[in-house]
Amino acid sequence: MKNQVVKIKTNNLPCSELYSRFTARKALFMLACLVLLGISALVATSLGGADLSIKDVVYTVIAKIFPFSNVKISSIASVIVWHLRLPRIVMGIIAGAGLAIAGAVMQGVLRNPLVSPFTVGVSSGATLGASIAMILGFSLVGSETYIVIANAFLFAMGTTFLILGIGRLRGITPESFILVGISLMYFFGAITGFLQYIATEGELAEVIHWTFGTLTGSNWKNILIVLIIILTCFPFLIRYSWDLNAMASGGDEVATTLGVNCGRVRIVCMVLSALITASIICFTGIIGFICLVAPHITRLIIGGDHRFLLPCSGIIGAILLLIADTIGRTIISPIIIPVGIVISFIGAPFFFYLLMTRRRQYWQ
Amino acid sequence: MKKVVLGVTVVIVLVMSLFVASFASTKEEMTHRTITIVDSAGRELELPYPLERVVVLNPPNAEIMRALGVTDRIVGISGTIAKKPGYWKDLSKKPVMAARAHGEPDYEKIVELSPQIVLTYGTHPAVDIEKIAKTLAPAGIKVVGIDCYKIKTLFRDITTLGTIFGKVEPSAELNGFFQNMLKTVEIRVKDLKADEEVRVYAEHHGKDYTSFGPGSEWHEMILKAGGSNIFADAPAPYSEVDPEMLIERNPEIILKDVRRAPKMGYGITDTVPMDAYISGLRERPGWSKIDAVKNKKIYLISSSLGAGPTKLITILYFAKIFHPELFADVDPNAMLQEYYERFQGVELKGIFIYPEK
Repeated sequence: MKNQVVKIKTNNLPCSELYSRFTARKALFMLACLVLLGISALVATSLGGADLSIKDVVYTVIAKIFPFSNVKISSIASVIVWHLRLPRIVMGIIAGAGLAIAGAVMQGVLRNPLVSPFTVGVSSGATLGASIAMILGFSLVGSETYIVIANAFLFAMGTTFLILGIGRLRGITPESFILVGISLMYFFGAITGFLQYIATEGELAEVIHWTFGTLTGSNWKNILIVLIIILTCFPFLIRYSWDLNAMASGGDEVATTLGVNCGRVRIVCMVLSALITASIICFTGIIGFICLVAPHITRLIIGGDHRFLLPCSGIIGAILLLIADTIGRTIISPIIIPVGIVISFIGAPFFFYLLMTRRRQYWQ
Repeated sequence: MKKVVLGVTVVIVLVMSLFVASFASTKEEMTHRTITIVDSAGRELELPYPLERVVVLNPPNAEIMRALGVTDRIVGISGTIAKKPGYWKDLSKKPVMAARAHGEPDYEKIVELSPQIVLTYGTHPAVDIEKIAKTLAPAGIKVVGIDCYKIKTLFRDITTLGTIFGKVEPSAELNGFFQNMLKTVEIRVKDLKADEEVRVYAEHHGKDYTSFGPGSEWHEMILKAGGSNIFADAPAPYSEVDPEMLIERNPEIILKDVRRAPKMGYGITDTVPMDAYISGLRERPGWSKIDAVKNKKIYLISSSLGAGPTKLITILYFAKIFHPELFADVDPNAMLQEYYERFQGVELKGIFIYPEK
């Protein structure tokens, strides 16, 4: 067998120059995605069930940002844009970004393209918590109005610690975490299934509607909570991105020789990404596909360097979720198709397209 | 001679005892008759008559049986009934044959108890009546599916129960009570013009912004009470609606079906959580612009009121909420009280609809 020679076109440039061009391209792509996100947000703001023209929307936003400007707007338009449409859009952006980042981190840290907070049982934990609140009326903490949110959050986090705890007993390897996560997913799924089986029609409807994640009911308070959690976790994740690169490309042995404490990085990253996921889905319900597909789409386009992969996945996730929700709330008026359903509808074909057209061996 | 007399006497006694025995056996045949009915699921069934040993799994059927005065024939219940000992004082201690009224019962326990029939829902989506019937068929136990919770079939269901328990007259009396109420509402709202119909938003107890649409019982109840459902164009019985359109369609009345929180229904009188819940609804984004919120026309309805046979009284409540001037002389509370005390033999306590007006 002939040795294949990989030719790299260097154009006789020094290495540092090549590298900065290489990273500049990625930074440019990130910028382009941000612009696209901005445009999507503007379009989404102008679309909706209420009969408002783009002018109304723009004036409303202007009047809110510059309270002393002399723009006349109707109070209904103001309420609709400021309290219904914008929170929904902002929550869509934040949730999409958070879930995509959590997915990218988990895939990297567990070195497996099939992993996401949903395949390792975090969402099954949340669903179980919500089901227990809705069917049995039992909650660990919280008053009646918030028991579903509180239970979903606590069970999601509890699941994560269970995965880490049991996983550690078998050594802190990716396989042990994944296998424990998957078995927990089935275990919780079984309990939830049992609860649904004994539930009344009304309770069943409640649980099923919850598992179709939606952005309806988003408000500035929820947004603030999620935003604070994401903004707190994200810098830590970025700080670990070199470690993640080492672990994802070389495996634990290589990473360890490079001085990475694989066990600690793995545990911290798992906890942080589960925290982000839990804080989002306890408000929205299950929005699954985004954390799996957004990181893959990003990897296909810019490769697996976590310094760029994490922020770019976030932006791509935000764009996808925003587009999905805008379609979901406008396509069959007056009802809203939950974004958890729409995202898989548009995400899956888009992913197939990229998978078929891109030739890059992007994973590993 | 003596022998002859003895012989004749023996023969006479034998003949008489045979006669008596044969008479007795024909009498036995007469009492152990059967009766053929069609249940809510459209299944033709031949049932033993009279029924003395019955397992009843769904509360609406138990409620109608109590109204017909035949609870003494119940030998087994479901967990759904057992967990409400306040309302089901007379039944809650009976052996439990199923965890809930829905899903599948404990077949072995039922066979062990060997009732004549098992009564459960006929067309409820969470009850597979055919499966239950097939499983219990080898034990000779008939499964009867009667709904008693749908407006369309309630009257027929009550009549069927009256027939199988031999209580035709009481069942006619109960039907009369409900029919009177429905007729009163129908006659009074019949001549309402389209613009006099009240715009109503009715929210499912599940998630916020999940509206009742066509195909749901609540949609029918709103129409019957002379209201117009603002989401009558929704494509499904329960669907999440666009909050923007909700504000734009500006309902005059908001009805919230309440199940888990705040606590409402039989035996519950604490109104503080209900008030808190209503203020929570009023503070939903943009709701301050809705007529129903401005005019304080948000009502909480306990699921237990709107789900079983009492949904006919709920229609009366709705009608009075929608058209207070047309129903000034009608008191739904009195009707509910009458239903509880006269037909259920239970003292009416608790808040089922809030605020009461």
